[in-house]
Amino acid sequence: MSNRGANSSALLLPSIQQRAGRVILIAAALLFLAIFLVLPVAAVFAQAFSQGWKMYSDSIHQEDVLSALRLTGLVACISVPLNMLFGIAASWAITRFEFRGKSLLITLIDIPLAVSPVVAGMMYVEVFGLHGWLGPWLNEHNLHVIFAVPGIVLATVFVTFPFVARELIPFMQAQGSDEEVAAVVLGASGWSIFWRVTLPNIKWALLYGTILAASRSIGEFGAVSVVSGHIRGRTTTLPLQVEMLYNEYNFTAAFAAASLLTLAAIVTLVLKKIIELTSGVHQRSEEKEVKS
Amino acid sequence: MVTMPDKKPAKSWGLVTRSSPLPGFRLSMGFTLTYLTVIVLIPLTAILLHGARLGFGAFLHTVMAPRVLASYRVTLGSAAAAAVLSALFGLLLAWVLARYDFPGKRIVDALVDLPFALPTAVAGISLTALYAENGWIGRYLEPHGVHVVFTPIGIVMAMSFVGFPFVVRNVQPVLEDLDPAMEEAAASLGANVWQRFTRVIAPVAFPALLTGTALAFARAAGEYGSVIFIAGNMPMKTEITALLIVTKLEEYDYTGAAAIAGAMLALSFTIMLVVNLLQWWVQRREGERV
Amino acid sequence: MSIQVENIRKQYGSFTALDGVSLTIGDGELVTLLGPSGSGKTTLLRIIAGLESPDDGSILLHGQESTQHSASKRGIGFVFQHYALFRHMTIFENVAFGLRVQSRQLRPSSRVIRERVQELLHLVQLDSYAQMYPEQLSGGQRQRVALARALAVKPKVLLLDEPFSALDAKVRKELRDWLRRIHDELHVTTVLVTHDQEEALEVADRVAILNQGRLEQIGTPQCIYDKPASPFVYNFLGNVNLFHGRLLADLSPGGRGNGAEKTIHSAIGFVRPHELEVSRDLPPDSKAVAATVARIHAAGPQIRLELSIAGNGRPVTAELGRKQFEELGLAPGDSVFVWPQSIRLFDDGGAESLLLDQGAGI
Repeated sequence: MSNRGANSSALLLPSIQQRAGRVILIAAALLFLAIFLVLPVAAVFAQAFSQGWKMYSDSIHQEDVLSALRLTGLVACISVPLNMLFGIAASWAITRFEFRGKSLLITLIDIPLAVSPVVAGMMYVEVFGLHGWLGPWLNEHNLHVIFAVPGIVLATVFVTFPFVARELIPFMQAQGSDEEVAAVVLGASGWSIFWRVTLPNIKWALLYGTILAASRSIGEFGAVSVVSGHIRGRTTTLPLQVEMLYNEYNFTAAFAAASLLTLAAIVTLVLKKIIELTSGVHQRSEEKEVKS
Repeated sequence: MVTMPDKKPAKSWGLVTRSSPLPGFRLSMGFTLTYLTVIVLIPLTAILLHGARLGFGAFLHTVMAPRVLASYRVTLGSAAAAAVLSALFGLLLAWVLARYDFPGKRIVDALVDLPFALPTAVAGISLTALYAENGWIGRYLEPHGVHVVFTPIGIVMAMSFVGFPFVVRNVQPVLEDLDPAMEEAAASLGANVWQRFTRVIAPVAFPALLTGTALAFARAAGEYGSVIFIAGNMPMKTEITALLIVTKLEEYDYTGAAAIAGAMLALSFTIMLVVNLLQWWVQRREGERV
Repeated sequence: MSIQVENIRKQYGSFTALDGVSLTIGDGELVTLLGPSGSGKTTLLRIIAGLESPDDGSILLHGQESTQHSASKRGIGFVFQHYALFRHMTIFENVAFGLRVQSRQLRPSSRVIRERVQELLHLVQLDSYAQMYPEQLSGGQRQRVALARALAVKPKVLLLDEPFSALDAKVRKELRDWLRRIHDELHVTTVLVTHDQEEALEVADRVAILNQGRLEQIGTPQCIYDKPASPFVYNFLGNVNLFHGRLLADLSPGGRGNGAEKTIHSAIGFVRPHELEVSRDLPPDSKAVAATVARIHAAGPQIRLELSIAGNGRPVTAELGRKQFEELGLAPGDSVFVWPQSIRLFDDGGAESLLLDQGAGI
């Protein structure tokens, strides 16, 4: 039966035509998803294993792929905690205080979602590149940002920083500050309020946003591509490694590396769904009904 | 009793418009602003200033060069087509997910976010493999003279792939929140299915559909990773603007790259403005309804 | 601990929430702040608590200037309208919170905390709910937990912000009586905000009535009910008959009316229903007016009559004892005479000052 009682009332009891229409719509949606989403994922694995398991295993055990994997992990481990801190700070300021320029601040947080990743990467070239503002000074002191790991981290931080904040802001807004105010009256200090009251309440939304940020930071391509310089084994993240292998016509290896990223994406989707179903974050109305 | 005016000197830099008993404004706001300044504002200014240093004439010359103009045509044309496709399929999926129950619905719902989660480079090579001459789909299209890979159709495919979840995720909650009583009322007044959809549901869902489509367009216009593999990147024909920036950078033409990036930023900010206006419009309508 | 509120002002943009309010609350007193929404009562309570800071004026707690002290240092207990219980903690942990966050030197041992929490849960009759979560409790139970939580830190002042307004009528009445009993037991200075007249008059030692950011009147419930200081207070408390009229100043020598009267004011008169006398016959030497019995509400200890008076638009309500009603033997449609035992007149010209507190002359 359809959910939310839309068709459960006598007035809207579905006629045969309507039932047929529903079947057609569902079938069309599923067909679209199968062709548009499932096939590409299946293709990744089919190509990766096209030369057999041994070839697949060899491909992902190449030193370049492993070091790309390590770099991707390192970048995620730096950028994700930074963005968690930013997300918590920004949403605390935005949802717990009334101040001038609040909507401007919220709009600023959305910028990375609107800017092309290539332009994002280029911004850092403009600041830290050899011809950029700080380039000559950095060069003098033998510091490398562009075509080095710090640039990759910066670009990744930029493209992923809205995710945690955008999860937390509506969530904390909806929760209100009653409990925190109650804690203030009971004599709790600022940190005490944060650790004992705020954090336990927002932990699922925080985790949700963190997963989104981590997923994007693992997979970011355009911004990182501009600042990385594609130095094999040193500034190549896993998505860049995929591109390099692909451009060398080493398709099996490219898809083998891509299969790791695809697995990460699937894990992301599963974790997201689990959080939605167990915690009430982003819960669809029908699921709420089932739960209550 | 003596009262002292201005008893809390600059405790919140004069920003706070309503005092709050909660602590931590200066710490959280200070961190937020510093972070935004370092990560966003300074680099953004750098790119805009570099573009501006060029002077207006040279700037125009760079961003209106034939190859650049062709890249706009490819990018914006494909993004517009992708936005329309995203709107159609996004609406279909949102409707099915919001209105019907069927086995595996939760999996389908989770799957919609795949393009958000799948790295764009992976999507790019995978779509290329699928639609290539010997690919799973391409082998059925090629004999009919339909070429996807290395043509604008391929670009549109890739852009639709990354764009349609925006439509679903914007429209679906609106359809779910729609009060069934409204439709029942329409039905009790004699409206048929089509009338109920066009007169009751569509007006409510339309702003969300528009917002979702605008976001899909923005994402498509700036997209890089998933497009470059399938596009073939032939100058004047299938070269997107984002790739042109990368090409200019690889040729050490930083000024040209900055100018084109400036043009793309202008487009991004215009779309952001449109989306914000749309959301403001929706909120105002909601306000009126309440 | 006593509370002195001195000339408090608070402005939100162009809206004046409090416009120079002063009042003093004695040690161990239970005072209700009563007023319609927007009257500033909640703002005043939050300023006393330190949750808002006033634009001007000061708060003295126990004679000490405390306007600048933060909420966490004032030693107050605050009960919120929507409970504000910590949803991720058990009832026990909610009540224990205030003790657990005390600095290391002051914090009691966990055994003492446990005893104190159990004692409080016993006081609010929720002994067996300690390990439950707030969402498992009813609204009334939650508010009792909120009160226990506020009392756990032994506050010198207890502030309650419309604590019962989210509850249904029966629970509200029970909790109100129960709050009064707890207050009589603990004698902690208490301020309760409410928009419910009955609640305010029933539970309080004194009632402060606020309107548009100003204090209209403060006094004992009886004083407020019997001698409202302004038409607003009369209207807000309700249950009153209103008469519009002109006040005639008696200018004749000797003060006996002889036709030399002159209109000087338009006025509003207020008469409570029980202050109206009803009779079948015109009493001698009286200014009674003729009326018709429109309806009779006979359920309850008092009989309420709705009387229509020619020339007075609204029907007038009178209350009689059962005995008197039976003696009169009234039925709808009967003609009677009514006159007030007492009336309070106010200037209608905007000043709304009290003109006359007794006598007749409608």
